Amino acid sequence: MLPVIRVGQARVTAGLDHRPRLDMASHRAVFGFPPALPAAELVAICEQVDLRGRGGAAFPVASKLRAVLTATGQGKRRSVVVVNCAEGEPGSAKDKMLLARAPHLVLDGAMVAASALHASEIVVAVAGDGPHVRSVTDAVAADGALARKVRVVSVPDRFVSGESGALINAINGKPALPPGIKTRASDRGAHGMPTLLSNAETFAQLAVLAVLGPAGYATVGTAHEPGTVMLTVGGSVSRPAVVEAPYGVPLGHVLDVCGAQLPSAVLVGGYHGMWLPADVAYNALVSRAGLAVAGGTLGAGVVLVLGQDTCPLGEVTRVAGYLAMQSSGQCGPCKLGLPAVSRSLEAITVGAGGVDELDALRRATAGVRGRGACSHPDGAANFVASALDVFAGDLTEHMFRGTCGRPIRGFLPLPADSRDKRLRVDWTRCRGHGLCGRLVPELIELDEHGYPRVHQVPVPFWLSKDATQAVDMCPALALSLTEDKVEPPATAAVSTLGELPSPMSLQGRQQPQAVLTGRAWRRADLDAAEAWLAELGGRDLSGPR
Amino acid sequence: MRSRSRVQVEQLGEIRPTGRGRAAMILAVPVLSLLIPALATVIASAGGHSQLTRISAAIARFLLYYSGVFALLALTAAVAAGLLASDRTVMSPEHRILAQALHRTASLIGISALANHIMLEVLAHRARIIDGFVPFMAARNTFYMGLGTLASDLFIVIIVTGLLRRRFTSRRLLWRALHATAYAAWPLAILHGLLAGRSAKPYVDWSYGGCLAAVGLALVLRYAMTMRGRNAALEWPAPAMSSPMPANMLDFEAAQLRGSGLRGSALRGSARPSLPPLPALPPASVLSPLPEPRPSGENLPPAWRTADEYQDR
Repeated sequence: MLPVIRVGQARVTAGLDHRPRLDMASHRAVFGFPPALPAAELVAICEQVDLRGRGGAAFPVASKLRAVLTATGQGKRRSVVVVNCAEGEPGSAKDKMLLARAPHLVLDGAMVAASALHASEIVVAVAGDGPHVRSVTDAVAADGALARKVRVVSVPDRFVSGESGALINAINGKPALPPGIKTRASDRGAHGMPTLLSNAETFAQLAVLAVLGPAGYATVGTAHEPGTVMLTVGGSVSRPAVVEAPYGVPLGHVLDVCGAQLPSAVLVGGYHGMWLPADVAYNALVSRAGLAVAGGTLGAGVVLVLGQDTCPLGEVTRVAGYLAMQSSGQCGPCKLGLPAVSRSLEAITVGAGGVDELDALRRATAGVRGRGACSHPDGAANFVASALDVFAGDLTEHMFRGTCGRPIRGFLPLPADSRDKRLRVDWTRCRGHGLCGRLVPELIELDEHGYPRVHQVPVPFWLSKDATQAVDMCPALALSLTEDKVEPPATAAVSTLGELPSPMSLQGRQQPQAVLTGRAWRRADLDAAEAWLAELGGRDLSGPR
Repeated sequence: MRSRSRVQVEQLGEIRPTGRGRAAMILAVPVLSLLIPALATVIASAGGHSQLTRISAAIARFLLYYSGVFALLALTAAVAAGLLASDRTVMSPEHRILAQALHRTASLIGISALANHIMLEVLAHRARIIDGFVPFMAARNTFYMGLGTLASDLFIVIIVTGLLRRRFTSRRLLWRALHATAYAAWPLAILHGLLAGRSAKPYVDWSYGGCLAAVGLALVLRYAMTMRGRNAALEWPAPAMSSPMPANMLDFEAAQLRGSGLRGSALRGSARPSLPPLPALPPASVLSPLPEPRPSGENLPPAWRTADEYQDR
């Protein structure tokens, strides 16, 4: 569980500096009882502070409430409240943190909404297993009123499980996949009833808003975006953390607080988000408007920092491969297009791709936009396109020199499942028959000699049949599906950076300027850089193989 | 604090990987092919004069007469398709995938028909159950019945190991050896078909002979192609070690050796004219040693001075 850091006033993280988890009694001591608000008043206060969904799409909560009220005839018919805590984004931990440490705040918010809407049920959807699941079930069991009203469901821990349509499908007993025909959850959601679906942090903010009132809520934040926001800061920082910060705080301050060291770029908005060059990121303001001006997006508040000692294209390639395999395999342009994007990126990263490959990459990236049941292809395309933009220099170096000379340290977090299987080739047996390339073109591409180039990603569920068939049909018995891992765990690399000598961490804004201009280096920094290089000297610097 | 009981977490939205029903589908074919004729035989032997009894009797009679032939035909097709699937010269990868699919389908149909054939023969009291699995135990026509049983046993082994092929990636040669016994089992099955049962019509004899010849020819071709593929590397124009070294190579070596006081093996005994001497390289000089770093003072180069200004404290 990530530590929690607070910048400025406490809101949803109030009380967490005294208790690892706020149980019912300590929660009431901090927040008291939220007032029972009638629907009209709840809509009004949400509108006053412009409360938005915190799951990434930033849809106004007031509009959602109004849509459910309309569909239920102002609360005359039954409705459902769904708390979405299936954060499938590997870099995000804020919703899990809230459920694990302040479950009653989230449940209070859900209860406020449910009583205003006269909702018959509250569904808390979690993914995977962990302290957050135990914490929320304990919290529900601790209160009779909650235990009667709340259902806790667990959905598969996949990237698209948190998509609202996929979540509604899961609650209705279908596979957790995005539906092909869009229906608004507020019209027909869980059990076919009008549903208010929002992210766990949204309900926590709603509870805070109900307790403080709009005026009290708006004492922090910007005029247009009052209140605080939860961020998950990770990557090559010495203190990865969940951060509560008021809207409008400089992102640079948050990065300094989390111990970002000499970043080359910062990813905002998670794996559907955008890359910002370090100087732009340090000067951006944390708000939807502030990050939009900087050319990024706030999304679900995921901030991932990329240090200078890793190959940025390699990092992007790892994530692109992950995103391709997280496609649910339903929509053709996504299930064929994203692997093509990922393969081209991989070819450029290992130095096997030139200008033609970049051309293919750009075309494939543009070709997936807007062509799926959910926003997964668009988000993945944004991620790759902004990487091509920000890492243009590295791209050129990889295309014309084969490598940038830096190892891939795996700073960008990816979930690892021990049951994941990968395709492997026994090169001493492979005779380039080429059957596998026809059977799983998503995973195997044939080179100019007819030998397979296997995409090193876990085989997704929708390709398991094709991959098995390729193994079965290999005339040389050279192909196999194996469970062993190739990538080192990402946490090791991060902890190494954390152990760097202290002079590396500069204060305030000096840091990126020092990097960018190359002038403002101090003696202490030079010493630290030398120590750093000496440390790297013991490692393989020959670049990705 | 009324209910302290744990709240159940429901697992929802499970996503199943594709291709999970494969084993069930593969098993369904032989099971169905056993159930239908067994049912028909049982209904027919129960007697009576209903339409159902007559249809069942007809089905049982037809299958008793032909299921052996079907097994032989399907397994012949399987052997031929398997041979075809291994070809690289004529077949494209796409066609080879199709041929492999045909090979598998034909094998599955063949093994189903074989099971059907054995069961019906047993039900018709023309053979005992033991004759279906242990060769050369039959009361009459022992040799040719035994050949059929032997072939059937081999085919069962081949098909079971074929289904488990992906488990054999580390014991490839064992798998190949087991699978190659098909070339022994199949002629045995043909002999059994021709000589164990009713006497065949001449066109059947001729077509069996034709099949044997065709598969034999294909096998020879396959062997030849494999050998050619294996030896392909040797057909490349290898650098002939006995031929004289190219002139520029000699020049290079000579230049390398000149002045070193050594004579290269390549130069020894060659009748080449002596080469003009190369211009001498400028003599390498030892670089002046680095000056001792001075502790401080005005004589520091400007770059150092700037660095000093940035020093802490």
